[in-house]
Order: sequence, then C-alpha cells, then structure tokens
Amino acid sequence: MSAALQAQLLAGAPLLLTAAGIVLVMLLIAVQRDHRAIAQLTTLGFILAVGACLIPQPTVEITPLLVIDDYARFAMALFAAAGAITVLLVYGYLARHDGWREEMYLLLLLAVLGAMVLTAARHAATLLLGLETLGVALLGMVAYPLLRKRPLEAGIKYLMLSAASTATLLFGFALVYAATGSLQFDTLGALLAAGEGSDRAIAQTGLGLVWVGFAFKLSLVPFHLWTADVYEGAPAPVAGFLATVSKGAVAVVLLRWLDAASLAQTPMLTQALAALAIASIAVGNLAALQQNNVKRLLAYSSIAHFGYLLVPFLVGGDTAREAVLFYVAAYAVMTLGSFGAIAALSPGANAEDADHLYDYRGLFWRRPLVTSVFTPMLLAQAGIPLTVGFLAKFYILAAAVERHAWVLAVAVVLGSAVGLFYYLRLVVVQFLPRPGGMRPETVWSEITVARGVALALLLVALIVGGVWPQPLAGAVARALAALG
Amino acid sequence: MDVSPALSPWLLPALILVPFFGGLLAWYAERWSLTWPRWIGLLSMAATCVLAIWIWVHAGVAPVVPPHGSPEWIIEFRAGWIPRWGVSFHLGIDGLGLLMVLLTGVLGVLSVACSWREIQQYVGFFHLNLLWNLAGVMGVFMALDLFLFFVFWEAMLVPMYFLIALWGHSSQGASRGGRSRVYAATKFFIFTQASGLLMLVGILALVWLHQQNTGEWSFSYAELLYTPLSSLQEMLLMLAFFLGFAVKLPVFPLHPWLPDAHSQAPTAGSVDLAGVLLKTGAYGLLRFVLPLFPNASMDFAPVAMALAILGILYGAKMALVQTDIKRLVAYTSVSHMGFVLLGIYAGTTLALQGALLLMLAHGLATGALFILCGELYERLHTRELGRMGGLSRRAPHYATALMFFALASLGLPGLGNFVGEFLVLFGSFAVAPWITAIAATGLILAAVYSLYIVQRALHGPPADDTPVEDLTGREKLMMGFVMLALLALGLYPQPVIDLAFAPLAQIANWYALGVPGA
Repeated sequence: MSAALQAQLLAGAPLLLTAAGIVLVMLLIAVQRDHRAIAQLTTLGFILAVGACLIPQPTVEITPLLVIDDYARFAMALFAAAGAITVLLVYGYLARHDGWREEMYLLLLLAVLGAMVLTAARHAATLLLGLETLGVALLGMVAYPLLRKRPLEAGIKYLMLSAASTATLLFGFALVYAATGSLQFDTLGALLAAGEGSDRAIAQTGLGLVWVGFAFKLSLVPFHLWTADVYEGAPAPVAGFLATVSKGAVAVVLLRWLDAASLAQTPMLTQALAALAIASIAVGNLAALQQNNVKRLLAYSSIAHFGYLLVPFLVGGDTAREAVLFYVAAYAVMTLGSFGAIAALSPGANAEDADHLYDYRGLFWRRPLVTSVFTPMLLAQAGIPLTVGFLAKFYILAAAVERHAWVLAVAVVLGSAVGLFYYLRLVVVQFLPRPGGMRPETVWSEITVARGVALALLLVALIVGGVWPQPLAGAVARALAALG
Repeated sequence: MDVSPALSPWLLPALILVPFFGGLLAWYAERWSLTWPRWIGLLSMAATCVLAIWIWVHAGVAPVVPPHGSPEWIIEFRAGWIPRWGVSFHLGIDGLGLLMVLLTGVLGVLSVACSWREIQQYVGFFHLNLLWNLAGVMGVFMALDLFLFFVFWEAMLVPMYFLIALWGHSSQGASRGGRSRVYAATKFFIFTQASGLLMLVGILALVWLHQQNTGEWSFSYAELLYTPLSSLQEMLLMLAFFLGFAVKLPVFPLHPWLPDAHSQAPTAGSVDLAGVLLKTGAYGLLRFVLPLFPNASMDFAPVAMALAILGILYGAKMALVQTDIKRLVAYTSVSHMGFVLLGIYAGTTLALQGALLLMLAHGLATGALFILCGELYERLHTRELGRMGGLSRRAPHYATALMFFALASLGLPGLGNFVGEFLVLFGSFAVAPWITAIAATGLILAAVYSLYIVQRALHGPPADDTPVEDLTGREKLMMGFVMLALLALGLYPQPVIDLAFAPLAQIANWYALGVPGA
C-alpha cells in the first residue's frame, strides 16, 4: 500500500467507518432483527467515527471531489456526535413502534454519511451527492411512522421541496459551469472574477440560483414554508436531527463554497441576501409568537436562527467564519436538546408527539429532569449568558460590529428581544401548576436511561460551552485555519 | 495601597460563590424540611455581609484621590477565561463597589427574612432563584471585565424573572388595569434584555475600536478606559451604554416595566428589585458611562438631567394617584432614582457622594417599605389603600414602622435619605442651578405622597373590625435593624463617605477633565 493511499484511507476513516456501519447494519437486519443490538452497533459506529475525526492529520485530498482537512474533521465529528445522540433519543421513541424499527438506524447512518460528504465537498458534484444522500435518507426518517398522517404529510412535503431546491441548485451550478467551465470550488473564485460580459451575467444568475437552493435548505424566508409543517409532522428526535444536521451541514459546505465564490463580487446579491436575513429574523420570530404547538414554535425559531446565522456569511472576515462554525456547533447542542426533551415526553408508537403547550404545564413538578434540560436549552436559544447560545450570539454580533454592519446587528438584537417572549412563555409554562397533575411521573428503565444520558450530555455541552468556551473557540479557530 | 494579608483575592469570588452554592444547597435541602432552605438562605447572605464588612475593616482606605490616573482597587482577582477574545475573569472592588456589595448582602438577608412566612410553595426553588439573583448582582458590582460584567448583568435576570413569574401576585381584576404576574415578569425581562443586548453591541464596538488601536482583543475595564474615540463614536457608544443602564435605573421614558414588576412581584422580589437591581443601573452609569465616555457624557448631561427632573416629578405625580400601596411605593422609586441620576450627571464629587448615599438609603428605606407592604398584604389580603385605615390603633408597632419609613422616604433630616438628597442638590446647584431648583420641588411632592400613605393607611376609620396582627418578633427585628441603619446613615455618614471618597472623586475628576492619557 502506497503512503499516499494509506494517508487517504486514514483521512477518509470517518466516512469509511460510517459506510461500513451501514453495510453491517444492513447485514444484521437481514440475519436477525434485534433493536437493541442495532442501536448499540450504530452508536458504536458513530463513536468510532468521532474518534477517527479527532486524530490529528494533515490535509488530504481524495480525488478532486473530496478534501479532508481540519475543517471537515471538525464538522464530521459534530455530525457524528449528533448522530450518536439521536440514536439514544430515537431508541426510546421507537421502543413501542409497531413495525420495523431497525431501518431507522440505517437511514440515520446514511443521513450522517451524506452530511459528512457535504463537509468534505470541494466540487459541485460532491455537494449534490452529499445533499441527496442526506435528503433522501431524511425523507425516510421523517415519514418513518407510516401509519400516522402527519409524518406522512411531512415526508411528502419534505420530498417535494427538497427535490425543488436540488433542481434549483443543479440549474445554478450548470449556469456557473457554462460561464466558467469549472465545478471545482477552489478555481471558481478566480474564474468568476475573470469572467466578462455575458459570461459574467450568466455566472451571476447561476450564483443567485445556487443561493436560492441553499436558502431552501436553510429555510430562509421566503423559502421557509415547508419548515413548520415538516418539523411538526416529523417524529421529535428526527426533527431535532433534521434541524441540526441537515441545516448544519448545508451551512458548513456553504462556508467552504463561499470562500471561493466570494459575495464581495456581487454586491446586489449581498443586498438581496441581507434582506433575506432580516426577513427571516422578522418572520421567524413573529410567527413563533403565534404558535401554541411547541414543535412549530421551534420550527419558526429555527428560521430566525438561520437568519442570524446568515449575518456572518454576509459580513465576511475571519471572525465571521468563526461565528458561523461556532453557531452551527452551539445550535446543534441547543436544538438536539430541545427536541430531545420533546422526544422524552412523547409516547412514540402511534400516538402524537407531546407538542401542545398544555402538555408542558407543570412539567417541572412532574418531570423535573426533563425540565432541567429543556429550560436551559430554551434559555440558550434566547441567548442568555452562561450557555453556549450566548457565546454563539456574541460571535455573530462581534462579526457584525467588526464590519460595521449596524443594520444587521440591530436586526439580531431586536429579533432576540422578540424571541425572548416565546422562549420565556414556553419556559414559564413548565413551572406553572397544572390542575390535577403535579406528581412526579418519572419511571426508570433502559429507555429513560438512554435518553437521560443523551440529554445530560447535551446539557453538559451547553453549560461547559457557555462557562468555559475556550476549548470550543480554539477548536473552531483551528478548524478554520485549514480553510486558509 | 498596602494590601493587608487578611485580604485574600479569593474573597471576591467567595462573595459570588457563597450565594451560588447556598442556593443550590437550599434547593436540595427542600427535601429535608421547608425551614432548611430559609436558614441556608439567611446564613449565606449573612456570610456575604460578614465578608463585605471584613473587607471594609481591613481595607484601610484613605479618603484621598489616588495621585495617578488609573483606578485603584482594594482587592483584585484575576484568572484567565477566554483568551480568544481577551476575556479574563477579573473581579475588583473599591469603596464604591464594596458599599454596593454590602447593601446587596444586607438586603439579601432582609429578602430571605421577609419571605419566611409569605413563601410556602416551592420553598427550595424560591431560595435558589433569590440567591442566584443576588450572586449575579454581586458579580455586577465587582466585574472589571466588560464581558464578565455583561454575563452577570444578564445572568441575574433569569432568576428574577422566575421570582416574579412563579411567586408573584396576579392582580385581582382587569378593572384596575392589573395584569398577570407572567405578563409583568416578561415585560421586565424583555425591557432589560433588549436594552442589554444594545449595550452588548456598544461593548463590542468599544472593544473593536480598542483592537484597531492596539491590535489586541481586550474587554478589560482598565485598558478600555484609554481608548481614544472620535466625538461621534463616543456619543454613540455612550448612548448604547446609557440605554442599557437607564432601563434598569429606570430613567423616565424607559420605566414602564417597573410599576408592573413591583406590584406583581413577591415581597422579596420587590425588595431585591428596588433595593439592589435599580442600583445596578446607577452603578453602571458611575462605573462605566462617566469614566469611559467623559466628554460625551458631559455633552449629554443636560438631556440626562432634564430626564432626571422629569422622572422626579412624574414618579411623584404618579405615586400620588395610586390606590395600590405597592404600586405607589414603586413610583416613588422612579422619583428617587431621578435624584440619583441628577447627582450622577451633575458629576461633582459632592453630588456623586449624595447619589451614592441616596442609593444606599433608598435601598434600605424602600426595601423596608416593600416589606411592610408585604406584611400588610399577608394580614389584610389587599393592597388597596381604600380598604385600610385606622391601622395606628389596630397595629401600633406596624404603624410606627410605616411612619418611620414614610418619613425616611420624604427625606426627614436625621435619616439617610435626607443626607443623600441634600448632597445631590447641594452638589448639583453649582453646575445647574435651575434644574436643581426644579428638582427640589420633588421633595415637596415626596412629602405629600409619603404623608398620603400614612394618612390613608394608618389613620381615619378602620375599613372593618377584624383584628390585625401586629408585627411579630422576626418582623420587629428586621424593621429595627433597618431603622438603625438609616439613622446611622443620617447621623454619621462620614465612614461611608470616606470609604467611597477616592473612587467617587476620581470619577468626578475624569468626568470634568477626561481620563488622563486618553
């Protein structure tokens, strides 16, 4: 084995491990269905993938399609960890599912593989490949409880819009290719800058379309209409995974792509996107105010969050790139935790999820441990200090202030102020007395322990990230050093 | 300054950690007994008082202005935190901070003591919130790193929110314009958080300008003091900071959260809000706005002073028309804080000393008034002045206490408030005679509303014949203690003035002449 091949195999280890996990799970299902064994195997696979990401290595290019650098490794570790947490959450959710349970883990592994490919993409083809692997697997996960109406509806909606956005992306890349003759990220910037006349116009149209495709995936206003329905319909752990990994991976690949296709060359596009960011913040927050369904509320709040996240993309610069990656990591923790808490309350099986505001009344007295996780998660999303959510918002404001983007900074501030209202409403309702039901309802079982471990890990990450953020900030800075 | 060996730097984090862990312990202790959390709360707050007094005794502060331009601290504590942003865990305390910390400790003890009977539900969780809020306030008064300051500033809000939302009173009917406690808590939170985030943008902009100048990220107070700013930058940053603090103080048009929060909050929450949280706003102006932006503050002073008199008169006027005794006291806070704002922006050493004394005295007197309101509510189950009356005969000890604190609040000579208000007016007259003259009329209104409370609640025919329980031993002890403290402040304020002389004189100098080296 040549040294280069060895390096490539080592660098690609997270991808290979996940892929091997998929094959193993598939074989195991064929031989004997065992829910617990498969969940354990999947968790092990994710943990090994995280471990493989932590081995320090030089940047390795695998074919013109993939590049495994510190940046990719950081994001891969994040998504693999999110996958492991999701396994723990989904395990209890599926325990009473009547139907095949094991395929969920297969789909989960596939989705994470797709996300990992995205993080390492440096070519439009890889980008689309990753997006589709992720999207199709997610479709299966969203519609997994086949006998219920809402998940099915959500699945179909997700399928349609995912397909539409991929088509837009494809068309955009085709136009960019027509104008520049390249699909490779690293040569894109120079070729775009060199283009003249009609070439330039075509390339810019292409860029615009690519952004529209991304906006679909990130559910930015006005391409956000699918979000609330899909979040509401999807099983709670899947919704958390969707919000974190699907959107997070797109943000990660966008950052890599944007390095090449700099926005600075297209001021009009920048302005349009700034309008999109402000609209997302406004619409997301204002719509969330109206919700009595917790999952819809979180869906709209996620629209607002990605409005905030668009701000550093727009202002650019080193701080801004750190802000993006930090925010993605923080958002993963907060969102997985929030949906994890919902999953912990939902019965699974064929019943609806516990997503009405009334389900949460008196929760602190009935399920104190769930509330002790859920409340900090919500406060973190509201940007309260001593949680990682505050640091994330701090990074974004710092990036905006550094580039004098006052309008965007004020939009973030005002959005956060409005956001407080619905987060606090959801927080306080858990502490208000509920007539007739104030006794502790905790039952201990293998399922609750698995879920408890997941939620406890997320809570620790949330608080440690907020109180002692230097390790995360350092990891983010190191990861970005790889991008140059 | 020689640091006595008795003054370990760890005293400062201890001031924060004692209530922090006390809160956790109180929460846990709930499963043993309902009395345990109360005692734990009382003892941890008493411990912070002891620590503060210990620092005072060993500090040996001389009442002279430090010769050079940099601030001096009695004790400093510094630990690395987030090197990426130049953030350090930097605490420091001077005479000004020490007095505020002591006030927080004393009012903390009172808050725990006054909830002894009132809070019967979720006792452990209540004390967790109360103590964490006080821990946050301690942090605010000691933080010398703007990032750390902001963290404490925001962190103290969440427990306060819970205090109001979970243990507060909902008004008895919409007819009185009453709103639910959750509404009041949310309003409080959104006002302070939104203005706080704006301040964060201001902090970030200041830090960024500093970074442009020196090439280093730093949130350190001592370094940011010398950031050269153009006059426009200075003005904008000053406004961002001012807004953050003005909401908390509160300054006139930004006060609407206050009456709601106060009237809906439980007694301990009101004591805490009026006694301590409002002071964080004034402290912020003194510690950050004047020294960091002296020129812009000077330009802004006429506006701030005009807002101050508006606040004084408006607060007093609104107090006069209230029928809810707690809301009435809440509006008097707006009025008194107007005096504090006036003193701060007048900016002479004398006026600043007055503002500080007024803050201390107001914290004690208004805290005691809120406690008395709470006790009245426990007994009569109403806060409507119209349904009281004749209390002087039905509960003579109670009536005496209420009379005393009403007089303190109107500025009776011999009590702390008088010294504070007098010094503020005396110190401001030289700077802005007309504004001072108008502000002084607020004192007349103060006499009117204070006597109005006394007359409506204590005299006249009783509303009904049910006997009213007089003050219990615990309540007498609390009231007696606050009376003594107010008398001490009124009759012999010199030790307090001496302790805070150096920092206040330095702030006055910076305000008048700019920070040297800038």
